[in-house]
Amino acid sequence: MVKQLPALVGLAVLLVLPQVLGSEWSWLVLLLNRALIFAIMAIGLNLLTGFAGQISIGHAAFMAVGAFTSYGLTKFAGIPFWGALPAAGLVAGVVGYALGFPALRLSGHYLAIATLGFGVAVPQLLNIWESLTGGWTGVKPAAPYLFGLSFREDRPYYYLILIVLWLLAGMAVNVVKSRTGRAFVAVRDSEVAAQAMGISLTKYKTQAFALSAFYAGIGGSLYAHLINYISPHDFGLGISMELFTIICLGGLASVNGSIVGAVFMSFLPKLTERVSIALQRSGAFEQSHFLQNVFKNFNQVLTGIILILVVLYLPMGLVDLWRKAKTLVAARGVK
Amino acid sequence: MAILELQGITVKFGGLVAVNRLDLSVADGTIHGLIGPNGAGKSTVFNVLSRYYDPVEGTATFAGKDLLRAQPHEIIDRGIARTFQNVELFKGLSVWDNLMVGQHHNFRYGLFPSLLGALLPNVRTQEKAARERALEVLQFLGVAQYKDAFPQFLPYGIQKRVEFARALVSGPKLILLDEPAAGMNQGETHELGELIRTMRDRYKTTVLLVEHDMPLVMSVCEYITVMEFGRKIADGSPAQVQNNPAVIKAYLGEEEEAAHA
Repeated sequence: MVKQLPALVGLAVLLVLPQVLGSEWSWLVLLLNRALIFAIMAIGLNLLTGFAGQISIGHAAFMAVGAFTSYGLTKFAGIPFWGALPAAGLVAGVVGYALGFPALRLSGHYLAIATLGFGVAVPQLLNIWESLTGGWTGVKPAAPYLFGLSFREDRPYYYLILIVLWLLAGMAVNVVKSRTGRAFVAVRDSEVAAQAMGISLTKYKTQAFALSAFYAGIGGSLYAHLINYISPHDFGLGISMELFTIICLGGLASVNGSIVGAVFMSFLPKLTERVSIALQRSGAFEQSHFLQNVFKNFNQVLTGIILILVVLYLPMGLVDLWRKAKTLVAARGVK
Repeated sequence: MAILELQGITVKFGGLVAVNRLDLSVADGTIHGLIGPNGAGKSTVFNVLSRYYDPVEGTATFAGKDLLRAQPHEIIDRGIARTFQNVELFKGLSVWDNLMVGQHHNFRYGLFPSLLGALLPNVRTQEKAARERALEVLQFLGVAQYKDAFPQFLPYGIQKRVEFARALVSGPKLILLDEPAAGMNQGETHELGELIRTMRDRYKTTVLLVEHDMPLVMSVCEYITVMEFGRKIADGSPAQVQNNPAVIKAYLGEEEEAAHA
């Protein structure tokens, strides 16, 4: 029970948060929605990169596949959102499975380059397919209706995302503790030994790609119907890099770390922006034109500094803070 | 009866002939040593058996089946497990989980049941049985107290034992040990010899051993094959091999060269 306490407290906070925030905090709920969608996708990427050791820095491409699949199915095939959401995951999963085969021949930096190429190519290809994606103009996926309920507002949508996150995080935890998850880690740590234990590299690398892409596809669908406006170029390298940063910062090979990292990365720019504005208002730099210019973009500088500090002092990710805190408390308890 | 039979195995790397028409017959239930000076081709033979290398010629039969048709990950299903010269434990997994991977091929569930995990009674039963079996093997090898530790934080000798356990837990008919005594002191090596014998008796496996430590090889092996420059130069009981002039020349020749160098 004590062991599960932090998880329960976390869940309770997540459940009541949108309710206690007043209407002036609407932007925060939207930001939270985006953060939790990124958490879903980060969990998927972490299964691939953190556990199975296969780098992908073009993961936004799978998100795009999910987003446009979901849009196409709801718009043209008359399939309701609750059908389009898993379908988006499955279609992205199939694409991920297919990408897994060429990826088998590559590892490390070379795999990074190949997935980067994939991440660049997919938005371009989608851009050409204007009848589905709208090209540069983009398209407008409708807000979902589920069982007669509208999810046009951010608050109900928040609970929808939360349920999906809870399900997919639970599935990821199960995988990690199972035969499949252990095989992923074995492939990551020693390919020769993994093979000698009966683990087919082909099978588990392609499975990791497919599973990871499934999570990204689900995230893409949720994102499309939340933002209600998407174009192929929204899913570029910026998002791929953000996902990669999230898992490194939150904690590689950690499901919790993926969630923590996603929330951290979504709120950090907002936080540094506030700090930056406050500094400018205080008039602290009125004397110096130079300093004024420097602090005009101080939010980005500060974000960068914080990222560097985290990787320097928490190389195991933000989740390591929790472990460190626990050992500290335990040490105090002994005294 | 021979459980493993190699005939005319030749392995080439470019122009270099690493193994030259090797015949090797390992009798069921024996502890068989494969020795020879550095570069004799012993490890190459292991890598052929593990299916990392393909021979250009020759046949390999294990338990009556053509071994060369198997892929590296299918070897363990045929009943061959191995350890590595430089310990290859999975550092991201606990000792216990390393032994769970050792039983990977025994599980009968795939990706989709993995997603539901312990919610499925079938998965729960299989996991529980595998955990118990792993613990039993760890106990047999005297390393059960390290079950929750991560391998990289353990002393080298313990890591070797864990790797041993991981190979043993799959229930192999043949276990390939690649220089198990490397990096061990005399006392540890002696214990290792005892362990190999007890293991064979208890788990009824056949052991094929590549080793440089002569006292260990001579005391533990019942049959020895000696290689030099990719060829077999002698085989027989430890006493026969020790008195074979070709073997003495191969080893003494090496020492002389070493003395001049």
